[in-house]
Amino acid sequence: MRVTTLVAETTARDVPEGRHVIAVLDQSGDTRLVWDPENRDDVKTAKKMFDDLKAKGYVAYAVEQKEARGKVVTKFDPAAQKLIMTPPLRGG
Amino acid sequence: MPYNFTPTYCSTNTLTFYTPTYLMTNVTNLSYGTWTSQLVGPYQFQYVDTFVPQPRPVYSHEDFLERERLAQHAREQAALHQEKTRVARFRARSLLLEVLDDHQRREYDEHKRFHVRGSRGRRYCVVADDRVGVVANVNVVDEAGKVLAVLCAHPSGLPLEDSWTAQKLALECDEELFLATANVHRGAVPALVAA
Repeated sequence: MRVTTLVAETTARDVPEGRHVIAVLDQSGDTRLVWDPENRDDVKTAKKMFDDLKAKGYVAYAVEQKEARGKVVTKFDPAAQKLIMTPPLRGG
Repeated sequence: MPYNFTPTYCSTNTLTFYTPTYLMTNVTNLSYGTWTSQLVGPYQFQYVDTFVPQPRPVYSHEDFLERERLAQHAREQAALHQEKTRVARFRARSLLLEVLDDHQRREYDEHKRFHVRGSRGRRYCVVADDRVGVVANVNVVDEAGKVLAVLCAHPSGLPLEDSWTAQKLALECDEELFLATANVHRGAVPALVAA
């Protein structure tokens, strides 16, 4: 439970109010791009990052902040508050 | 001068080596040299081991200091890697806890596993335990909790918690793709279709 509290604080610190985030799973845990949906340059940067990763086979999931269940996103949606991009799964 | 150690044969299929320790005592320095194995007969075990001794290397004080410096560098790199891994796993755990709902989070904290309802309605148990890792850690279970099949599909090169996050999202959002990707370690694909 202590860790959960820490996570809540970390999340609140990393994503300010009104900002959207793309979390890319990688070796460092995850790399987060926090961007302002009102800013054209930010949207452009986020879209480029999204498209580049999709070209590499990453899968994007839109996860709402208050709803745990997500959905697969195939095209960049500036309205998505939180995107998690994962490398493709492989059978092991 | 090379030393040849010839093995003794009982038959073509059974072979007994004797250890020529009395010969080895005559070798001044067995620690420095090269062993070669040469096939000398028509059968697969008929070979002769040859040891060619070489002069013992002499290390200077500078060599010793250089080796110590390299060892220290290796220790620092290992510590750095360990710290990076620790931070990465903390971040990954934070993300995993973000995507889990309250019930799943409680399951994860208490039992190192959590249940997921797939997008097609099947029920899965993701074993999120360090001892299990990400190999064959996704169980297809019925409503009573009985394991119907064991599946394995995961991204590579990620901290464990990130892999469990990816598995959870894939199952909830695109179950069919997960099933198409996964290897079945126990159970069968027809059982999955019928479930």
